[in-house]
Amino acid sequence: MAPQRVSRGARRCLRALGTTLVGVAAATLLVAVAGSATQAFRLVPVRTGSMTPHAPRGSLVVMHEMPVAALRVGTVIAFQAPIPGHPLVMHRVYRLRPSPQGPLVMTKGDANPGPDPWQFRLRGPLVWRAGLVVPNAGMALLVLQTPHARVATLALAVALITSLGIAAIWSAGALAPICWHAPEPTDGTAAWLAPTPTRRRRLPSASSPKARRLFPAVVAVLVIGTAAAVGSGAFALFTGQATASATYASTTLAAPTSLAVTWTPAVKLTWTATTSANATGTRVLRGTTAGGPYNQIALISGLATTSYADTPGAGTWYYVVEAAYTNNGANWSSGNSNQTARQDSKFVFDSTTGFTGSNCLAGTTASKDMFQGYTPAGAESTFTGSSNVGTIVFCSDHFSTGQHLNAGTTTMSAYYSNSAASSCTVTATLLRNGTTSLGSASFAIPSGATTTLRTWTFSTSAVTFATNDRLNVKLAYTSATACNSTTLHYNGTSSPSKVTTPTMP
Amino acid sequence: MKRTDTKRSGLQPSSSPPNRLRHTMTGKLALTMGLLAVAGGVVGLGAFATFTGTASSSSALSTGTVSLAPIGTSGANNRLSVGAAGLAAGDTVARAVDVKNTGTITIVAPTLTTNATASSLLDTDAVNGLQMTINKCSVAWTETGGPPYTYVCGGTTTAVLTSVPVIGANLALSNITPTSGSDNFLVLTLTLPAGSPNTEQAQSSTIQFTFTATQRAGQSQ
Repeated sequence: MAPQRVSRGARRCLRALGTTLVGVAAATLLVAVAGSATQAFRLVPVRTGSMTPHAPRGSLVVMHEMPVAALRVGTVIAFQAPIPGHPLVMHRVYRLRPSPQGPLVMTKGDANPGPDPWQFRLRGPLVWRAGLVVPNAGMALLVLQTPHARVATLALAVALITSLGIAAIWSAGALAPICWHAPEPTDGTAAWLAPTPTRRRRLPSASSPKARRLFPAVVAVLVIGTAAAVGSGAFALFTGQATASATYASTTLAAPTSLAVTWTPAVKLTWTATTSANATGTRVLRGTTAGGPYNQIALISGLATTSYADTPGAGTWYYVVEAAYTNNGANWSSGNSNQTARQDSKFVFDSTTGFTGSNCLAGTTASKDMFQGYTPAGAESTFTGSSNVGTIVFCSDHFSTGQHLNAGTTTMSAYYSNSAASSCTVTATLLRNGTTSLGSASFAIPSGATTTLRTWTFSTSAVTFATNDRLNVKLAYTSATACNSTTLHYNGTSSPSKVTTPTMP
Repeated sequence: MKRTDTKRSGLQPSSSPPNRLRHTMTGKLALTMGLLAVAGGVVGLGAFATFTGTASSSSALSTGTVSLAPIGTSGANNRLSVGAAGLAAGDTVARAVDVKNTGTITIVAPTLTTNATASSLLDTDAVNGLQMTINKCSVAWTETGGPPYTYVCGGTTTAVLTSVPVIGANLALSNITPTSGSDNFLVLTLTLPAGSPNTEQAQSSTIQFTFTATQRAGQSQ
């Protein structure tokens, strides 16, 4: 009898354990089903570990629905990830960007080095938010949800139920009290059903030895049911990253410098080439207004060439040069050089823009070169007649073969003072190469100590130049005595003397 | 056995059809066969459902790691940290990089995210700024020069990313071999468009490239 008692005690323990298991499983099932049915919450086990330590792998998370509008950075949400298979992923909101179609969400696993490689828009007004996290509680469910465990549990349950069924069949109706309503114990023939009414009433409480045999099956069914009712689990996906960083810089084309323009009388531009290694050439641009706009008139390939000749025709022209980069359709320019240059349509000996002062005609007592682009000196230059010296010659630079000067009127406007009592006669001559006169005229400088602008005109003939020809203006005091006190003022901003030829075609 | 006999004798007076069925040997056999058939059917159905439902089944017990090999500056197949200066319109910058799955499991959704830690028109001008293209070679690229580097593929070239502005988030990368231990020999090419205007001169941007791979969500193990 002693072994029987021990066995009965163990059986009682097992029965208690079974009852507890059934109770827990049934309660869980009930809660899970109720939650799912009412949409109040959902139970979701966590399958992977990237939300560690907030929700480690195997945790059971209670999910609640919340309005998308209330979503904040830091909220842990579950969503269908926009990657193949669209797995359910539970990650933390990393960034929220409002948009008219709903917020754009970026997420991140707590244990991941960087944000997830996706950005998605939440559809609908509600989103599932993680609430209470029960560590390890989801592990058993996850194990049950593995294919092998599911098959094994299912097979076990079915085997148990089947064997019980077979036993009942072959024991001739042992299952009757459970499978069918038992007939009322009105007569003695039904005595086998239950020796006493008390025991019969206790049958549904699973204390019958036969019903007790169903416990494992019932437990298995309930556990499977629970596992099925609970969500199949959310992934907290790990990500791996590889990062590199580099700096990319574009080139800077430096403008050419020291742009100068000379009147030769064709326009001749000279400059210092850009220092940019990337530059492939120099761009020459011309405009009619100082400061632009300018149009390209030449793109000089290579940087070796640092000059350009232009024959723009009548007009006043302004030039700039730029460094250029051209390659396979690319077309870059530097900023242009700030120096602009003016080109008159007529040949002008202009004291404000270019008497440089070097001798241009051998043997001439006083002669001056004239260059466009010249910056006038602050001090004024003067030329006073005397008993010995009475001639000054201004020179242009060299002309090229075939260049032409029209016949017409040459205008002389010069500042003179004459402190003598009588007038002084000055003869102005337009010369080619200092020898061939193209026209001349004499003018009287009346007595007057004040420096006054005097303007005269005279006719000059046409000329076609040969290479290295020059054009000159010669001013001669005709009377040494009368012109001793007569002074020409030039090369200064206060007295800008000028000789303007007829037009150049 | 005694109890069984009692039950059997207790059932004899009953005249209901199920009881009568369970009395005969044929009936018992039929019921048993029926029960077994139903049980078999249930197990079969369960197995069938299990094996066809692989999309939602679990890999909860796997403990794989996800990692990509760090990108260094050493070696002909890791040049992504080498910058470039003096770029002019129409210029291209080619840089090799090996994106290798050094984790233990297959990755999904490989992406590239770029951001400018120092910004200029080179990255903010989506049209005239730097444009990015990525190609993959089935074997390691053959590198010459350096820098500038030029690359020749001795195997098959596939497109990983067609031309996009250099700054992009979560750009999906095609033709990446996802399996553990796989090399992905990429050449990333940055182009300053030939039509970019003078305003793109004298610009400098520092671009950070972040390749991200995600653990696949699980499959039937």
